[in-house]
Amino acid sequence: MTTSPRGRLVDARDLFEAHLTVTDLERSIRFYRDVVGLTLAHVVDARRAAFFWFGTPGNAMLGVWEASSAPQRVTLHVAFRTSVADVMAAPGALRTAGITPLDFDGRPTDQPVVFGWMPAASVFFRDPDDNLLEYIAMLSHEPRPEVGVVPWRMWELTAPSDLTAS
Amino acid sequence: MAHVGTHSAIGPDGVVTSPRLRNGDRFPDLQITAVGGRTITLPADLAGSYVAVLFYRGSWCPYCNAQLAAFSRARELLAATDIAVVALSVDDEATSRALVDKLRIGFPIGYGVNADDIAATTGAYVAEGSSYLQSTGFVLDRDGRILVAVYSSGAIGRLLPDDVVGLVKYVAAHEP
Repeated sequence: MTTSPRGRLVDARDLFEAHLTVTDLERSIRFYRDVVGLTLAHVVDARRAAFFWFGTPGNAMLGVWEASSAPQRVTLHVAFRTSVADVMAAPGALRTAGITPLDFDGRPTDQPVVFGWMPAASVFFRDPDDNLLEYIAMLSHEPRPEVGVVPWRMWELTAPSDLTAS
Repeated sequence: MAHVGTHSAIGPDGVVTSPRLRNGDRFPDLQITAVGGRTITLPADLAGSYVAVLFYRGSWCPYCNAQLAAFSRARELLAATDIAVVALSVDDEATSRALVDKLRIGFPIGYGVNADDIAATTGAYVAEGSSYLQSTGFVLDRDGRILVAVYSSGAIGRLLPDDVVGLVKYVAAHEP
């Protein structure tokens, strides 16, 4: 197999797009455009699909596709990169929008969780079809895999005392 | 150091006695300094989660090592059950930090506590000469109230992570 000089077939440098299945395209357009705040870029009504840009066009893209009316569902998961400050503010912002902020185990929460091995702070929530969404921000702290996945408050309590939310 | 509350009493022999805490009691306010330098106020700083509070005898105690290592290994299961863990002892900071590193402990370890102060507010047994706290464990509910207290007067008899998870799962399933 021929590989690039850097040892890869092709340089897969970033994740560009993700796609979710939904049951009501118009409801999902309202949710991702008006609540999440993405830019509606293109709608293909014949395929019952809509595409959104993150930030400037061409940066990254989310597609939502209306799937069958079958009662059984497979829900998917995507995470949105944001700032640490916005992750910290996310529980309050979500509640204001009538959305329940969730922790890693799906429990309602008022604070982010931290993945100690990364480390990154996250707040989860669900779209109208129960797809699992996440706001995530990498932290500038040292990784601490031994901490596991803990509420932000516990991350702080086990951290060196000079740790700040950055 | 611990804030001594109203739990202590002078017994007929002049010895300070401390009633054991009971199920439903709010865990007394304790301020501890954890390895890393953070000050933690129990139970307020961990309110909202279930909490396992572990008093251990010291890093020299093999039973305590086994217990803390077991809680460390169970971190994913404890997190999935929304249980925070905090442990403390009379050990100094350097000794406590070495134990944290050896056992790869990710939960707060309070150090340098005064055994008599802690005993006065919690009823924990203290070794002769007040040199260290005996193994003592509490499981607290989300509001900092005691679900169960385990007082050992010696080396053995202590909370184990599987038991704590089982108890909390039962309690959570029966929450109103």
